Amino acid sequence: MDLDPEFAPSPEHSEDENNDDGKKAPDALKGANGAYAWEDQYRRSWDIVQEDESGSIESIVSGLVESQKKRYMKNITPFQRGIIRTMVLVLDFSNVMMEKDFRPNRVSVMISNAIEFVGEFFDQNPISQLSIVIMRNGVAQLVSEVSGNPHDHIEALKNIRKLEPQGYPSLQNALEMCRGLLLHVASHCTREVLVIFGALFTSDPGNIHKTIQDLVREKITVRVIGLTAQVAVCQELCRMTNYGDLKNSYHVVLYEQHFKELFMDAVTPLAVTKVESQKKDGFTLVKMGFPSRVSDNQPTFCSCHSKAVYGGYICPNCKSKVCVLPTVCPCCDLMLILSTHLARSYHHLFPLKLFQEVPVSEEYSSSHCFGCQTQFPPGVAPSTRREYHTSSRYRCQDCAKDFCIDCDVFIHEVLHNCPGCEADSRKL
Amino acid sequence: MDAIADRAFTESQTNPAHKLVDETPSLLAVVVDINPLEWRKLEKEQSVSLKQVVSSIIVMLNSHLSLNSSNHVALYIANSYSHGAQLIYPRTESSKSTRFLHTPGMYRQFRFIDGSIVDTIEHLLNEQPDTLLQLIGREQGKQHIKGTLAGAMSMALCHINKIQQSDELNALKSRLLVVSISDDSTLPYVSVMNTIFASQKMKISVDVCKLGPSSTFLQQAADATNGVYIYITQPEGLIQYLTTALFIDPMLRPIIVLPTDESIDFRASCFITNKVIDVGYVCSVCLCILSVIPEDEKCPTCHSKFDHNLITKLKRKPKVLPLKKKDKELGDKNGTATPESA
Repeated sequence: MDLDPEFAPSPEHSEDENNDDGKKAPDALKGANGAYAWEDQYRRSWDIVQEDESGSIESIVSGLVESQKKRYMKNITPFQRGIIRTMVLVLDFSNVMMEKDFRPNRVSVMISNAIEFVGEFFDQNPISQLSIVIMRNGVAQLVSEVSGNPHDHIEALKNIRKLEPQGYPSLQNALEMCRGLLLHVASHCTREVLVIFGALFTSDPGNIHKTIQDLVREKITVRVIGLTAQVAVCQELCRMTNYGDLKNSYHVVLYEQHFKELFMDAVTPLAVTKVESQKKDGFTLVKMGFPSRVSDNQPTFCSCHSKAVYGGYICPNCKSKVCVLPTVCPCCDLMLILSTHLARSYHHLFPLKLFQEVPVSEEYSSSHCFGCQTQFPPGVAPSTRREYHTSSRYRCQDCAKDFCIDCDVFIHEVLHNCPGCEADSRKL
Repeated sequence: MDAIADRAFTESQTNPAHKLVDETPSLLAVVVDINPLEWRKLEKEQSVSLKQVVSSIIVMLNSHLSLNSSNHVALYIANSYSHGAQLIYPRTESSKSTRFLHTPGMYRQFRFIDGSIVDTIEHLLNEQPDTLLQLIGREQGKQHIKGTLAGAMSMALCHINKIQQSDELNALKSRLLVVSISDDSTLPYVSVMNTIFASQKMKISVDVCKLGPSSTFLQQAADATNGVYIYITQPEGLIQYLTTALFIDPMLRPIIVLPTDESIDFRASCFITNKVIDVGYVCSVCLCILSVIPEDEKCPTCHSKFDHNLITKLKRKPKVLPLKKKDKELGDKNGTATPESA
């Protein structure tokens, strides 16, 4: 495998490749025998399955099924994060996006992922704003304006499905447009750009390095998801705008599922870097209004869309009526939100601790999952233990309750509450 | 033949609402708050007792089961001091006692539910620790015991999630009913909010049957999940509420106008003074809500320092222009207000 570091399949790889001579595999790419994963012997699935003493393969099958399910393994250190975000999503719409390495082609996979991303983004960051830009025919086109309404963006994305990718991408034009869109953003918001870049080149009208310098000056963070390979200019772009943190900002897609995962990673708000927090002379306090809802018998006009609607929310400052939240009051410029919107972001700030897998043993303290009350498999005697046996128990370190893998994933991805800890009234 | 193809038939094909109403089995998960202190208070004030409520709930569960043979029920308790939140029915232990099995003249499943629920609750109540007696005697408000309603709801959601993921049961629609008596102060805010969002994401309606003091959190829960929030004014008719207003199948929800409370208090409470406010300041780091700007210009929750310039800008009071004095100062300069004069 002869890899040019500039075009290596993943960012981690290219860095390690420079240091090693390629004999020793870096941890991320290690296979079972210590070399690269692709040098491993192929393991046939039917060799793994072996009957246990009673002639049943049930325990092994359940172990295999479990190993397929991916456990939630995110970093849970509570970081200070920029919760109020403004993001521009830049989509590559040049003719390289017609490539069929993803089925049916790159562009349709990208759009369906983007639609999912928009939904998830607003679900987890309700007080944030988004805008979408595409790179097509060497220019940047605005698809949707900066707004906090997910439906607008999803509609816009559905509309560009019919659009055929054409011409060359221009990273510089897109970034300049992002600069323009993020120019007026208030200082307490983050300014982020997420670029989906399919091409290996960019055709720019001017000096892109100057644009990168401008982005740095305006404190705009750029993250790139590459679809083909690493590109030097993106590397520079990410390094410069992320205070040298390339590892978390520039990724290249390895397979289709990975593309989606990378997209979804961008949903989590960025941690505030040390450099940033030290440089600032203080954090901002934002004045917000918590409007009360009214319901009328007659429709009245709302001040945001000038449409006659039943009910709505009354701005506590100027008493004008708006129909959707969160929004900025069109009359008095007060940010109007519900306290529930704020609560939605809490789990980014106070993440739930990860559960620990209980080691395989003969006897376990629990027989049922505390969440869903499914029965756990019994203990395994050491003599009959196989490689694929698991305890199927994942324990919360605080309340020492055991959960099954489905509940573990659900608790960390959706619920963000440990039922065991919440069910104990003695713990505060 | 044309006459036979009458309106009812053609309509059911064109109108999508008709299609939705289907005999799909559903799961009803009920969470009952059995906070002993609150029940004591409630039994004193109103003519309602835990016994009545439990018997009404049992009727409700049974009627849910009788609607469709593949319907499921689950019952959780919350706020029990010695046990926290717990699953009551279906019991997981293999020791499913056989003593309820032979009751002439009664559907066996009903008898089984009645028996096991009553037994378990009785068992739990008898087991309440002695410290509880001391607690009741002591001054109110001093002892803070964490409410476990969020825990019970989390457990129910885990259970529902498992059902939604399993192959044979995934057609099962689920809903959650919370019978609550405690007030909001016992609830841990973040956990309750997390359960609300989780159920919203899973499209599970949370119905709330509220006795005792009204609860803003549960109102928001019902509102966010298209559920019903009912404040029970006449507890003696509880069974009526449970089997009508709180008995709306998930399949019917898109069609029915829900008998829920429309005006909901969405205002937030200040983290420092605990006052309910409608305009406040939000820390951009930890999102805590403040009604006043802290003196030391630091966030009370996360201790981040606020920008001084911004604080002064926020503190700035609106300037009042003094009225022009008409008579003698007409010729005087120009009469515009200066900050000193204001």
